[in-house]
Amino acid sequence: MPDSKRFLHPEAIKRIARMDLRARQIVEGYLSGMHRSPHFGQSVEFRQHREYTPGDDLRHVDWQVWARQDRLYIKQYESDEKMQVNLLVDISNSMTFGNGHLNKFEYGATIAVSLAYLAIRNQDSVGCITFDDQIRNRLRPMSSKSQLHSIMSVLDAASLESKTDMTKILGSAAESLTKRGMVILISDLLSDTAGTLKSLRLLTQRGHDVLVFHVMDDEEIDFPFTGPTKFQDMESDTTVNCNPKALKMGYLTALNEFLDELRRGCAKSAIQYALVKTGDPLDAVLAQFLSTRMAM
Amino acid sequence: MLDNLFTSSASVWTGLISAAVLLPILIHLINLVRYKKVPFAAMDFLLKSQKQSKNYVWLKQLLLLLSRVAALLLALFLLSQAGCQEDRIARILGGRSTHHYVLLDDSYSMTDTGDNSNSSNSTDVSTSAFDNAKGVLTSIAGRVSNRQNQKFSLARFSAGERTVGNGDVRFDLENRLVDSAFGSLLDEAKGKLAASALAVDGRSIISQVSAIARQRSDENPILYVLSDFRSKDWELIDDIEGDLRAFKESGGAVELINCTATESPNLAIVDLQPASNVRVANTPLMMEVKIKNLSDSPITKLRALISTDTFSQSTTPTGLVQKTEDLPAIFIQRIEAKETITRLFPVFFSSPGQHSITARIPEDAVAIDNVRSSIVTIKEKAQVLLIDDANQKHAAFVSLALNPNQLTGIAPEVQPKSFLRDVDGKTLSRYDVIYLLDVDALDEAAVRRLRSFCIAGGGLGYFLGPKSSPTFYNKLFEDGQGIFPVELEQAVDVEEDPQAPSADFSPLDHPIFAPVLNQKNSLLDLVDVEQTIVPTREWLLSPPANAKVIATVRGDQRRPLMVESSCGDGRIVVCTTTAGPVWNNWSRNATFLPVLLLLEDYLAGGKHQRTILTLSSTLTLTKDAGQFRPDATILSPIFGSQERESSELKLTAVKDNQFLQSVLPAYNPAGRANLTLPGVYDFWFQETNGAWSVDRDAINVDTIEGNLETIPPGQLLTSLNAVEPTWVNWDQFNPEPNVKPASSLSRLFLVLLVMVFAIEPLLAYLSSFHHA
Repeated sequence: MPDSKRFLHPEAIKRIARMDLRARQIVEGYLSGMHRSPHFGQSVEFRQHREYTPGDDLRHVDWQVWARQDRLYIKQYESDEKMQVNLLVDISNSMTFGNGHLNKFEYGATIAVSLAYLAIRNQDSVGCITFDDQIRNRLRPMSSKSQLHSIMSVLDAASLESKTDMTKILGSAAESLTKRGMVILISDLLSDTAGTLKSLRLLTQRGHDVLVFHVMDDEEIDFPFTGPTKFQDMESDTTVNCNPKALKMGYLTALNEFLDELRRGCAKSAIQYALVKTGDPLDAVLAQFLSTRMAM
Repeated sequence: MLDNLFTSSASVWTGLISAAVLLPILIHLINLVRYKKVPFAAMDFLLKSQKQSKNYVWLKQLLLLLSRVAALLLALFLLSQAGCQEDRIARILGGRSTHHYVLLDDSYSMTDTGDNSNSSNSTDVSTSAFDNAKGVLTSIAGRVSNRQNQKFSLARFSAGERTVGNGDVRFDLENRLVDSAFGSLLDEAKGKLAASALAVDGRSIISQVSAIARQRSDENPILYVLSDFRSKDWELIDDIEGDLRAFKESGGAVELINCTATESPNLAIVDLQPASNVRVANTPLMMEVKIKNLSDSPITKLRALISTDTFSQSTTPTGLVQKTEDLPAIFIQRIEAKETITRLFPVFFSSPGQHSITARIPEDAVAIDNVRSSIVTIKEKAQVLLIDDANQKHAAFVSLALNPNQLTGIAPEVQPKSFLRDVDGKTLSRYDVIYLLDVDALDEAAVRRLRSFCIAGGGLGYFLGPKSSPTFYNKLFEDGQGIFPVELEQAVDVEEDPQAPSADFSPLDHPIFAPVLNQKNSLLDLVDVEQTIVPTREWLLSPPANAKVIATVRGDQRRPLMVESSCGDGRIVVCTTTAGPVWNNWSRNATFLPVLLLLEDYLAGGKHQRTILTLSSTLTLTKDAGQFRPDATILSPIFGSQERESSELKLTAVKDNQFLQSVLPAYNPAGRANLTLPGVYDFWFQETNGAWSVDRDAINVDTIEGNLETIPPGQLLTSLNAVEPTWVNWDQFNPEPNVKPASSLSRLFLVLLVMVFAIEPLLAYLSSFHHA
């Protein structure tokens, strides 16, 4: 692992208190080792030259200038239209689960801010919607640098208390997001699966490029509990008093059925689905995102 | 301490078992309460899994709980050794006591001290099998003293043979609770224990004690059999096996403890008796002694010592004077294994009375059968009655033959036939034998007296002749049931025949012809028989079953010369020719005297019917109630250093007070008459006029007990397979109860416990109670 990426592990990220610094660390650290430039606009109109810096995509080097002046310059183009990115962040109570370095919400929020930072750095506009069983806060997409702070403020202020109503929220988002763009859903998706997939499909039908970051904790994936345990539902009063080993097999079977259903549903609707675990390095999330962007 | 705990009452057991059952349940419940709380998000999957696995999880937890309860219970039973002794766990749970029944073989084979024949050191003190058994008894007592709630009973084999009046077994210690006083009680009882002189096996005592133990259903019985396990007693034991199996099935355990190490060589004097029936003072009497080698190897150079005891004609029991005289020893060169050898020797008593003869052989493994006594009743004279006519032409020859030179002790008395008519029965009973010498006929009274005389044992000798009336004798025949064994036809001449293949007098195999039988050129061949009275044709065709021809004329079975028979106890011999030289010349032949003396001895045998008394026999004493008082005195024999002891006996009236009688168990250590030792007993009876009379009897050991062959343990255990007894030699008996072979139940407990220990972790793992 390169030194720069060593710091992308959740354990290292947790030590950075400020969210903007976290995002910067993640994005810059991830990008520093790459040859390609983070510029990923699709405009064709020439804007200006600028001097080559390490990491720039060699395809954008102006070789004619190099032949004349023996210097490397990059050709920059003016975009036709700025990309509109909408972050849908789940702030329901279930997102507080997690006994690792970051809980699901912290992990998801870090992803959201990192993506926002990346988009603003690329001069795209970024909006953010936080929700549980209803939309709690909405920031309209903007490309200013202050937008990053606004997003962070919204996420900081989130109170994670209620249940999730994914169908309702995604339906509402489909109605309100009239301009086509990229919709990034960051959630544990612990809601009505069929309704969620139906609503996601609605977003794609409206022309949105939909990405789903399905955040789950390692303990939810592996279910490593032993000994007599009383499980308390974080979004209701339901409890289960059991010996976890006895239920593990059945639990994992049900979980895998749930994940398979999500994967199949998303693939069917051309939705990029990524299951992220709170123990995974965060650059993996960015890789997921950028691979999608490169393919566009 | 654990023993004390586990042998305590039912409440302790109830508490222990309740704890073993409740403890795992309690821990299980506490485990369920002591859960950790985990807030969880993906509850839907958990609920779905719980719904699917609920019954399966429940079942696994139940099995886990049961396995832990079972483990504790099995460990509890193993720790308490429950079932190791009694194999009856259900009964132990009731807090029952354990009853130790010790049966001690006190037959005289238990005095076996081993082979002493090679012992050079006279100071060696060998321990007998009985001593070994007493040592084991001490060990058993030590075993039971270390436990609580124990009972102890002790009985000897002989107690089974002679029960007390109501049929109960006479225990030396009966149903004694083992407490602090038990030790001294046992020591006191052990001090009284001694091997008996009895030949007794364990059948009776085992049967009785087994029945008693089965009746006491609230106890756990253990039966200890301390014996030498001789083949004669333990080879055919279907009845013992049945009793022990019933004992086992009722929850008992059987321990067989062998108290002897090896089979020792042993000799026994198996018989000692007079060889002749003319027993008179101042006349030698031939005695016969039989010695048996009961071992598997020959014995050589054996000396049998003979002694006689002459008793004075005392008038009271206390004035008795006994004079002992040693006779020349009998030397026996060799006795083969299992062989019985017979030797004759003469004894001589100068005075009439009941005298004893004792034979002894050197001491061997078992001493008590090396001595044997016999009583002979010596008369002043052997009285014989000869009935002849006045000229006594037959009686003179017979008298001369019976008492030549006054040396035989036989006193012939010649009387006419009228004597029989007038004489009373008591007078007639003085005679040993009555000879009727060519008597023509007798009146009915005389016939009745002769019949009574014969039935009582008196001998009858008939010599026929010219005056003998076949009609009269045929009346005595009574179809073979009378006192004359031949149905006569008529007198017939014996034709002279020089070419006859045999002599006129042809004897057959009979004791009276012993001197002349199978001899070439016997003087008997010179006897000429001219005339006999022949039997009827019917008699010849089918003679009575008890009639036997012992001599014929020239070997012709149709012309019997002498016929023998019996009536009651009396013996009868008929000679179909004359005694004197009328129809023959036998009386002038040299063979007449010895044959007639042997005939006299043979006919007198009816008066000396032999009764062999052993310590196992029943002895009946009967006296005329009009002549004797009911009180009697018994003098025991001299045995070792033990002097004669006196004990009292009271006879009871029987048969309408006509007689006084006492039926004694000859061996009765607890009875009124102390008949426990072998030897010569005096039974003194006082007459109504104050005078004393004595009946003297020799009571010997039953020599069958001297066979020291032991049964192989494997054979015995095979016979008792269903009983599953434990077998141990006396010197390997373990007094410590802690080290004992595990019972089948405890082995089962152990196997089950191992299985539970193997299953429990698996169930616990499956039930997720064990952390990874």
